[in-house]
Amino acid sequence: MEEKQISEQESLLLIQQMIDRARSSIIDKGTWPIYWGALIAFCSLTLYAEIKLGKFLPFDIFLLTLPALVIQIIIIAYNKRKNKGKPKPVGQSQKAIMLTWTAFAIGMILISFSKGGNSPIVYFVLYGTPTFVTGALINFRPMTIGGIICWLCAILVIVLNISSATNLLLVAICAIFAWLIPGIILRRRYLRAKQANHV
Amino acid sequence: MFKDLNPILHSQLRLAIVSLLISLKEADFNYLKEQTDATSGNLSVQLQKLKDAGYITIEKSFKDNYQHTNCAITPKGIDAFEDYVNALRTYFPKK
Repeated sequence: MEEKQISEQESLLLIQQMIDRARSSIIDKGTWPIYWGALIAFCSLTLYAEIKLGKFLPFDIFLLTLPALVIQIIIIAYNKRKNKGKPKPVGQSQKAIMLTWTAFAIGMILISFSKGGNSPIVYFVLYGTPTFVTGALINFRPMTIGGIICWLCAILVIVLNISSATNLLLVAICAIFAWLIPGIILRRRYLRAKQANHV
Repeated sequence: MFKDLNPILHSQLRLAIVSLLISLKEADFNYLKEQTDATSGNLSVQLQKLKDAGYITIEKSFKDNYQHTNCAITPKGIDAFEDYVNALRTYFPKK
């Protein structure tokens, strides 16, 4: 690209092209929503099956989330190291999203160790908050709706007298609608943008 | 009636830079170079012109032994871009 005068039509096309390129540079790859959505859905459905069948694994299946968190931290650190010095643009909302999910992770860890706060309502409210905020910040409706679904599950638990086994099905619904499905949509969007703009 | 187009923005490379920065909080010099396919020298000159107009800020720093030149659009730059797009609209028939 050079320093040259352009026609009005070319200006318009250039603006559109550059905005598309900037957006595709910061688009979420959908990796972590898929990772966590699939894991939480798997854990809750496995525990539901354990309760219904009356056969239990020798460990709490939800403990899988701890090594999963460690793996995520290692991969993020590795990628940061690998991409050191490479040009990377910063999106308008990225910092806010990162801080929201950090606050969520800390909240989840603290609550999992607390007997009083360890209730499905607290979990559903916690699941919904960062999901809703992220969806709103990146203007991504499937995730915003996913956040609202989590809160609807909290309302269901409050209003109806739902058994702890059924709560696990609601957890799986939250994980699928709040993270897994939006993650798959983001992934497809990222792959399309990568193909179009060679990101 | 056609509105005059801001001459600072009505050039291929400067418009490309501002259009990239409008969607981002900040962008590295190398990223801008990669996306615009401009030469380093030309990009530096155009960035300086945009900086002189008050449309962008340029911050140079060292991070992990790499030199970083970060660019970000200013509120004045955002206003100029919006005015430019509004002026551009007058050149096209309304649907």
